Amino acid sequence: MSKKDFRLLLIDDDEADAFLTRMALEEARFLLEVEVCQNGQEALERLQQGETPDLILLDLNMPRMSGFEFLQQMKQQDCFKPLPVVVLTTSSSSEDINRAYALGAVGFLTKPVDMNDFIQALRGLENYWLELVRLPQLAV
Amino acid sequence: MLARLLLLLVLMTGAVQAATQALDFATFFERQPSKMLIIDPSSGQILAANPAAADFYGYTPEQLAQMQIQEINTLTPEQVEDERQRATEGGRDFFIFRHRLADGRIKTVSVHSAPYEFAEGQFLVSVIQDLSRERLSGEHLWYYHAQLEEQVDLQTQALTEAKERQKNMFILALAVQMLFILALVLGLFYLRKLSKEKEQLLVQVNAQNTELSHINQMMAHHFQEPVRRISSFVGQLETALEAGNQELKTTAMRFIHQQAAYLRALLQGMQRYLELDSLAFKSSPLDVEALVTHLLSELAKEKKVHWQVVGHPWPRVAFSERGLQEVLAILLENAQAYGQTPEGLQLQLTGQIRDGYFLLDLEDAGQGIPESYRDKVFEPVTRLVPVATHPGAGMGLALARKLIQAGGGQLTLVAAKHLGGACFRLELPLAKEEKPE
Repeated sequence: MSKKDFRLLLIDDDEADAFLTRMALEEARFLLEVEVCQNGQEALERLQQGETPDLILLDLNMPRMSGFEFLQQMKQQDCFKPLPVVVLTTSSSSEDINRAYALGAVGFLTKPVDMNDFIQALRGLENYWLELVRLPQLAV
Repeated sequence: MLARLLLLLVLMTGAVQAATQALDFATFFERQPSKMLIIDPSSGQILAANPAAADFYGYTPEQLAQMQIQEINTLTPEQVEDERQRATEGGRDFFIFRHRLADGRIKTVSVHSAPYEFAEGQFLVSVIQDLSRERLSGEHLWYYHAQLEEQVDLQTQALTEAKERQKNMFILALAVQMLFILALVLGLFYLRKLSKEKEQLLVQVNAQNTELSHINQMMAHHFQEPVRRISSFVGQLETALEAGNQELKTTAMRFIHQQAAYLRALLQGMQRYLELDSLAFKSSPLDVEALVTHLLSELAKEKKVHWQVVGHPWPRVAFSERGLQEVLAILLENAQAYGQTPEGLQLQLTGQIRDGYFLLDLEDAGQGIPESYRDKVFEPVTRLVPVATHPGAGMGLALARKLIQAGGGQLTLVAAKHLGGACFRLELPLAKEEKPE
């Protein structure tokens, strides 16, 4: 898969965080297409509309439907179950980490304070998801 | 009876030749108008009683012949002995006793006794005189009579006192026992009360632990987030300043201000939330309608607000004025943020009394809150919309509920009935004078 075809869905309610993540992604020259949803409910609706991403970056603490609720509801639907979800959050608590993996997340990344660290982390994601592993092919 | 006495005398003498003598005595005994008893001195057994004695005592002669003298004489053996000594010392040939009749009456009597011997046998012949009926003229007799009665009275008094003491002891023992039982029951109640208090304390401690855990979780999420964002944007600001990137500089500054404001609101809200645990509320009779009307009138000076009050006059409630004012301010602020319509803020305030509480429903005409979030919105740092849309830390409703609960009331979200938006229900305890007797 080329970088051009790679679609990422960022689910984050906070405007500032979304701005920083976008900026870091641009700096990392990760991909071309990034979609942003402000909460889990909006993301689920977006998935139902048919445009499925290749990877989801999910914040946990969001109004309305939280990241955990989104993860739980998404994984209950067979068509979205294979979608890889990486949690991208401020939290580093073991409780959150365990819960996220238990609900089906494939990674847990604590947002670094320093932008360079953030860029490095996203580059790591790029290497793994675009270069090393094969992603599921969803027929929606 | 005469034949019996004869037989008795003959048997006692053991000689037929004494029969004539016995017959004379028996005739004398039977016809004697004085009350006479023949007694066995060794046992006190009444061997025979003449008709005069039987008539006096109220028994038949046969009944008396079955009795002992101790059954008639009310004095104890010791008292009888005392009287004998007194009689000897006084040179008397009679005794003064108190005899009990068949009907229970006590008679003071003088007893003249003389021993008679027949062959090997010996018995006592007693002549009884009723002193109660025949007033005695002799002072010495009255002296002994008085002495005797005094002794009997003393004995009776002693007996009564002993009985009284026994009764008192019994009552005292009973009272002590009852006190002991009462103390046990009270102790039991106290233990139960302590146990209940312990359970309540445990519930409180558990609730506070849960809250502390929740706050700890909030610290991990909600406090770290703005701090991290500010740090990140400070880095971006430095980059922007170095590169002369005006757009990035403006954006970074905007986000720094936004996050700083959020952090400030979060800290203030959390501080207030935690201090409510140790705050003592002073409840006083409060006119809710006047307070609500005042707040809405003040708001109407700056904003477009329409409101309708239903169910008035409202009763007075027992609540802290300052506390309720803070709660109403939060709810009105919430309504302004989320309950606006193109025509401005529309509110309906409905009051009703139920089970000692005044229920005030504050309903707006906004989008409302989905049923699944009706409890969640009262948790600290809970927001249903992003910060960028509506600034704030998400502490308002948590604070409002805690304030209402601290005053003995409750704050909930209920289904809207009139305007279709969010409907907050305040349950406030009625003032004492408003409660039905």
